[in-house]
Amino acid sequence: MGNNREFNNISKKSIDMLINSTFKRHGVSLDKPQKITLKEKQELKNLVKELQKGVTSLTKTTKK
Amino acid sequence: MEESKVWEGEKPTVSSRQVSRWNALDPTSVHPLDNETQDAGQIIKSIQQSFESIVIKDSADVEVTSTDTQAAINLQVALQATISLVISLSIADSDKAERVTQDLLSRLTSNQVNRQQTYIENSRGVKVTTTDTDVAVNAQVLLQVLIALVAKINIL
Repeated sequence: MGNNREFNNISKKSIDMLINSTFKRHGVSLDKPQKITLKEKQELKNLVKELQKGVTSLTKTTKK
Repeated sequence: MEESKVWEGEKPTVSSRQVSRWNALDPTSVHPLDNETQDAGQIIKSIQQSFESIVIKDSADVEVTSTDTQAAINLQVALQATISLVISLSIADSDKAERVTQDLLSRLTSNQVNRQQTYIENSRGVKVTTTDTDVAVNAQVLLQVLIALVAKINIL
């Protein structure tokens, strides 16, 4: 859906701005973490994927 | 019972039909709303609880459709925790990380999760549908923020 993609982009932009302004207000910047190991990185990646699946299934359930 | 001393003249005429409480399980029982001269007597109680529940008592033909609110809440909590984790990995100062996390999260989920108890008593033909649109929206927003954060710090 064209509209859907458009809304998606708008949503991403507004979330980006929200994150940037929040960090700016606190005088911090997002740095690449130095202490994260490869294993932790992989675990985090898996966690994000699981959460993505969960949100997708939740959205589908609600639509029913 | 003693004869009332207040009335003078003719005694009031009382309907021969015995007025009894509406009983949803009795097919011959007449609902209060069917009689225009009587007040509606059906009460549905809604009580705020920690978990969603629907209590049905002395009722018939009640249909309930509900999404799994508890799973949705768990997911939301997991998303918030992961956002907090990612921010804490990126900001060395833990106090600052905590403040940033709280500030960000407070702006994302403006609605409290609706946790309520629906109580249906002495009712017939009731349809209950609970939707978790608020929770689904909150979860979507949190996920988008999480993805944006990990993209920014480029750890995935």
